[in-house]
Order: sequence, then C-alpha cells, then structure tokens
Amino acid sequence: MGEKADVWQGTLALMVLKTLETLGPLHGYGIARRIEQTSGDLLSVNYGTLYPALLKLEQEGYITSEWGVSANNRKAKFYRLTRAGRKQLGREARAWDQTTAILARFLSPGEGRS
Amino acid sequence: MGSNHRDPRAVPVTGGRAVVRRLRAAARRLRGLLRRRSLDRELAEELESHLQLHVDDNIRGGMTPEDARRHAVLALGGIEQTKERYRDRRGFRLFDQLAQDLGYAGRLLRRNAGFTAIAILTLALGIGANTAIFSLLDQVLLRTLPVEAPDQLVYLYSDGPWQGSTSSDEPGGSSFSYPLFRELQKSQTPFVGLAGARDRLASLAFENHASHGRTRFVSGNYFDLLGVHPAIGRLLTEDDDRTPGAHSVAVLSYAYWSSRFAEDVSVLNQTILVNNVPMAIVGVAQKGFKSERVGDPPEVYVPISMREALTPDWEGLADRKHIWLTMFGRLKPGMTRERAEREINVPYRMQVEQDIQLLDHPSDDFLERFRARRITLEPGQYGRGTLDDQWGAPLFLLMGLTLLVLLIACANMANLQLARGTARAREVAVRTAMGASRMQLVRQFLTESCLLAVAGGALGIIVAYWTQHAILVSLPPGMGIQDLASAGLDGRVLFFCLGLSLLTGILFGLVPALQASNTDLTSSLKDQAGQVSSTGRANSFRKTVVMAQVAVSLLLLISAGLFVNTLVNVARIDPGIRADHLMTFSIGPKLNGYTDQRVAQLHEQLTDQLAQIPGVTLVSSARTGTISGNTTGTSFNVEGYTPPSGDTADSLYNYVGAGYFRTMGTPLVAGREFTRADHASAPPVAVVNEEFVRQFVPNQNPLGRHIEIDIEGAGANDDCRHCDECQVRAHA
Repeated sequence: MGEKADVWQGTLALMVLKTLETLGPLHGYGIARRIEQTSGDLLSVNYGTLYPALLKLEQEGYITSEWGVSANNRKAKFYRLTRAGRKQLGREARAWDQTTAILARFLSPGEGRS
Repeated sequence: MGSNHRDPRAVPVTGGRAVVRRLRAAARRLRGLLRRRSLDRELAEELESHLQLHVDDNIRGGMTPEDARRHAVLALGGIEQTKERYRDRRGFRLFDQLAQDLGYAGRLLRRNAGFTAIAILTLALGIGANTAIFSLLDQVLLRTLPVEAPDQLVYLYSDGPWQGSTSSDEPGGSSFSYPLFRELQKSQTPFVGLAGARDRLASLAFENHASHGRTRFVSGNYFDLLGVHPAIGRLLTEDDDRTPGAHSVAVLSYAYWSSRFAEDVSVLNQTILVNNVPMAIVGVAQKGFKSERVGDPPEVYVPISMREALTPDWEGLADRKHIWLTMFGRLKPGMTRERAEREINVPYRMQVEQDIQLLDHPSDDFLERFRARRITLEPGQYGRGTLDDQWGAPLFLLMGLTLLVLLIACANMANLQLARGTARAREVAVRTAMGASRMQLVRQFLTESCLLAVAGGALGIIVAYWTQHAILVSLPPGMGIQDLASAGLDGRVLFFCLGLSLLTGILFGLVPALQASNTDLTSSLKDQAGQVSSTGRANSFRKTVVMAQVAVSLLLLISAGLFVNTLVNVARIDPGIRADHLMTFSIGPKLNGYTDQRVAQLHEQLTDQLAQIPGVTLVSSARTGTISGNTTGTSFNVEGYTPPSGDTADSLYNYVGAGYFRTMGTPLVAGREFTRADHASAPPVAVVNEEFVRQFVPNQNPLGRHIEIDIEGAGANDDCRHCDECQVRAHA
C-alpha cells in the first residue's frame, strides 16, 4: 500500500459525488472500492476519512442515505445523490477542469508566457 | 501582489449559496448534537457493515477469516479513531468537549465534597447578595414603564410662584389647574395627546366592606395615550370624561382585581363605592400596569371629571387658582423633546397671562417671577416620581458594597484554587505527558471554576430571594419602594445572576488555571510525593490577592462602622414624643360621607370607647398622624410680628384633639393643652412650639397672643376638623 498515493484533501468529495452519479445508490465500502478501482488501484482511500466526508456531504444536502441490503445480502447504509448534489458535482467538475487546465498550461514547456 | 489578485483555486463561490449551505450544515450538526446516542448507534452499525463487506471481499480474495477481519480493521484506521473523527464532524466539537470537561469537573468536585460545599456557599452569598441588590436597582431605576413606546412619553413641569391652593402627588413636583389642562389640551401641537392625572386616597367599598385605597383620577385619553389595554372589559375613553360629575364609571387595576376580587370576571358592571359614590366597574387594566408614576400603585382609575363628585369639601375643578393636576404627553413621531418644549410654551404663555389677571394684588417682583413661568419637559420612559432621587444613590452605594463582597469571595476562591493547583501539579504533569495541551488544561480548570460559580449562583438565587425579602421587610412602610420591588426575581435578574456567576468563575479561575497548567513537567513527575515548590510568581500573586482582600475588607469594615455610627446617632435624636406603648391608626370617615358634625361625634365616641379598654391609659386624635410622613403647612399673621418685605410667616400645622400632648408624651413648657372644652364654638386656641416662639415672638411671653391662620384649601385629608383656629399656648 505504501506506493499508492493518498486521495488529496478536498478531492474526495468530488470523487464520491461522481461515483454516486455514475453508479447510483451505493454504500460506503462500495464507494471506496470504486474510487480505488477507477484510479487503477493507484489511489488508496483512507476508509477512516471517508465516513466523515460522507457525513459532511449529507449535512450539506448533496447526498441522502438510507439503510438497505447489499448484493451479497449484508445490511448497509446506501448513499444517493440529490438534485443539489448533481448541481454541485457540475460546479465542482468545471472548477476542477479549470484548475487542471491552468496547471497544465503552467507545467507544459514553452507555453509559460506568450 | 497586484490588485487583481485572485483566489488561486480560481473557483468562484457565490456568497449567498455558501451561507445557506453552511447554515443548513450547522442545523444538521445541531441535530446531531441532540440525537447523539441514536446517531452513535447508527455509526457503529454502519462501520460494522463496512467491515463485514470488506471481510467478505477479503475472504473471497482467499484470506482466512481472522486475517480478513484484521486487514479490514487496519484499513479502516481503527474503529474508535474513525468514530472520534466522525463525531467531530457530526456535532460541534466545542460542545462535546464542554460536555466532557463538565463531566470531569463534576466528578472531581463531587470527590472533594468539603471544598465544593464551602466554595459554593461562599459564592452563593456573594452572588446572591449582588443579585438581590441588582433586582432592586433594576426595578427601581432601570425598568421602563410597561406601556407602549415609553421613550416617547414626557412629563410637564412648571415651577414658579403661585397664589391659591397647590398640591401634588409628587413631593416638590409641580402641577396645573384643570381649566389650564383642558385649554392646553386643545391648543397644543407637539404631542399626539396630552393627558392629566392625579392620585387621591379614597375609601373603596364593595359589598359592605370598606377599605383604604388609592384612586387615580385620569383624563379620558389616559389609557389610550399610554397604549394600555384592558385585561377584561374596557378602559376609560374620552366619552367617559366630558361632563363633570356625570360619568360614574371606574376601572380596576389588575393587582387590585386579583387581590380583592380573585380575578373574578363577574365584577364587570357591578358597583363599587368610591368615597361613598356608586361607580360601575367597566374594566380591568392590563396586567403589570400601575400608572405613569413610580410607586404608590392605584387600585381604581376614575374619570378626572368626577373629581369634585368624589371629593368631599372640594370645589376646585373649574378654579384656575387650584393647581393639583399632573400632565404628560406623547411626542409626535420625529418630534424632539427640545422642540416640543419650545412649541408647548407658546400656548402656555397665553394661559399664564390669563392666570395673571386672577392674581390678588401681586407685588412687581412676584408678577415678574410669575410671568417667567414656563413648561419644562422631562423624559418619561422610567416613570414619573421621586424614587430615583430618593433611592438611586443608596442603591448604587449598596450595589458597590456588595460587589466588593463578591470581590472578596473571588479572592478567597482564587487563593483556594491556587492552593489546589499546587496540590494537583502531579495530575497536571500526568495529563500533559499524555498529550493534553496547555489550552486544554486551562479550559479544564476554567470549566471547574465556572461550574462552581454557577452552582454558587443557583444557590445564590435562594439567598437573593431571602436578602431581598429581608431588605423590604426591614424598611419602614410607606416608602414606596415596597410596592415597586415586590415583584421578586424575574428573567432579567436571573440572566444577570447567570452572567455574574460565569464572570465570577472566570475571574477567580483564570490566574490559578494559568498558574497550575504552567508546571514543570519533569520535576513534578520525578517528585514522588507529588509536591512541587510553588514558583516565585505564584507566590507573589497569592500575596497580592491576600493584600487586596485585606484592603477591600478594611474598606467594607470602615463603611459598616460609619453606618452603625450614623444609626446610633439617629437613634439618639429625641423625637419629642415617647414612642413606647404607643399605638396609632387612622380612619377616613369623611370619605364615606360623614358630615363635619358627625366626624366630630365619631371622634368623641371612639375616644371614649377606646379609653374604656383595660390597659389603655390615654387616647387622643390628630388630623395628620405623627411621624406618618405627611405634613400640612400654611402661612399666617402673628400679632406684633411684621415679616420682612416680600416674605410671609409660615409653618407646618396639625389639628389635634384633647389630651394629645399628654398622650404623645410631649411635655408642655408653659400654658395648657386642649381639653374637651375647646370645641368648635368655644374661643379658638392654638399650641406652638419653642422654635415658633424663637422666630416670631422672641423674648416675650407668647401666652395670650393672637395669630391669624389661613386654613382655606390647606389640604383635603379632612379626618378631624373639630378643633379649628386656636389661641397661643407654648410647649417644648
């Protein structure tokens, strides 16, 4: 696990929202696994920080939760994206695109100042 | 950095939305705080389900169940740590910490029951005394009238010389004549309305049971102008105050309605006898409302136009030379007091000119001073009255002294805490070693102090209740403050108590907390006995505290000594009467329709019957009770005495019955005192005191000299008028 990068502060929420948008209602463990898989197992989610992050998103009204039963018949709490969450995801994604684009321009050689 | 500096993340966040989101999150956190237990259980279940899912995965990946579980727990980063992090996010950390600190402080204080009890008791006395005094201060000086927009009210005063009868229900307060009030009401411009009122003592009789009471004569717009609402029925209106003598309606005060009629709604439209005149009860004023005056709450409100009908022997309603009415107004919106004062004096000047026509041979000097009369406006939100002047200084002084007492209690507590801090150095060292920050330690110590102080404050409320009661009971009756401050402790005062407690806690806890948390870690841990030599700074602080304590105590002791000294001096003053074995009471037969003749008969009968009671040695009567706080004065001419020009000879006077001086224990220096033979048709006689002789008939024998007294309109408490003008006799 040592070589894997930790999820950066602040991006976990965006990943959670995107995961829920893609896969629909999902439990915490499922969200974590999905993030790890999507990153090609390059990222490791600290499960301990995932739940506070989920709680924060729920408090802000972007997701809701409900108890249900998992695919292999375990009781689990399922998280679902709300409409506010969908909008927030759009905003955050755009902001992120902008940030990466700026950074990319900074880092690519020869494009610094024109 | 340029002025175009931007957020490096370049993410525009709309302010409004962010606020809404934060508010929503805060609301949910608050809920999280309240539903802590059920949310804790839910979190445990969720984490457990997470582990199960992970374990299932691990087993599918080929691990043994034990390994699978171990890996899952490790990946989660420890269940308890995760829970802690989660809880921090869920509620407000501050509250959780506070609860923790409080729990710990509570345990610690319980364990040191002796210390805790003494500390709480000390603080209870200090905080309780302060709360009691503050409650009085608040009710006497800081409370505004319970009426609509009290800051718009202003009271009208007009000082200056006067010819005719003048009286007021406010010592030293000025009043106006009824005709002038009506004229001014019509011609005034700066006020929404101008109302008049006046208190009179009255006899109130309901269902054959009469009692003394206070009646407030009010103009028809009185309640409307104050914005007072009826508790039941209706209040007086302009229509109840048009024709003198024609409006037999009365409104009860809420306090009287609840004490005399037990809040019985059926009193409406019943008849109450006010000074023997039947009046229909039309309503009850709103709860808590007394009048625009401070102190002496009235029982009954009646229209001002009924003043003559309800006052035996008084015909001053239409008389411009009778000034007896007080006035107040409500400023129009946007009107300042200064401008209103200028504007109201325009019509008032015309009224003064009219009054001048009625003056009887005024001297030029008198005329000039009379013409200079003008109305001044006083702010009205705290109510009209002299309680402020009378009680303001003593109450502030008392408040200051009790604050000093609390300061001493604080110093005591600080010293105790310091001593305990030294003893707890080892505990502090252990906690520091386990990772507690200095901030956390200070917080813990402060929580303890504040918990102690609040517990002291809670007990202090009981102390305050007693103290207040004791103060009010120990004051002589009739000082006005009892009626006013009887309300006890309300929310405002309890809030003050809580605030004072917390402040006290911080005051006596902060320095010991800083001191205690500042221990040298290694030396206190090494020291097996758990003893730490206190540092130099701690010592000097303790010395300072003790010194301050002694200084403040000395200050209190000196002022207490001065008080006692004054008290002893006052007790040594010879009042000129013997107060032992003396009983007094008062009656008001005239208010119940007795004629002068019958009053005289009643006095004789009463005196005779009382004298027959075994144990009664002497009985007499007087119109104004001795040391009752009431006085009546008049001007007079003394035979052979010419007053300096522009001045008149005047003195207080009293009507007294046969044997009055013997009964009061006042020895006569010369002459005789009144007997039954000095009745209304006998030659008039008077008794004067030595001061009178010194001033008006110095170095001569006063016996047999004549004085002329003008007793016309000299007051209206006509209880005993069977000894009219009298001849000169002297006594000490």
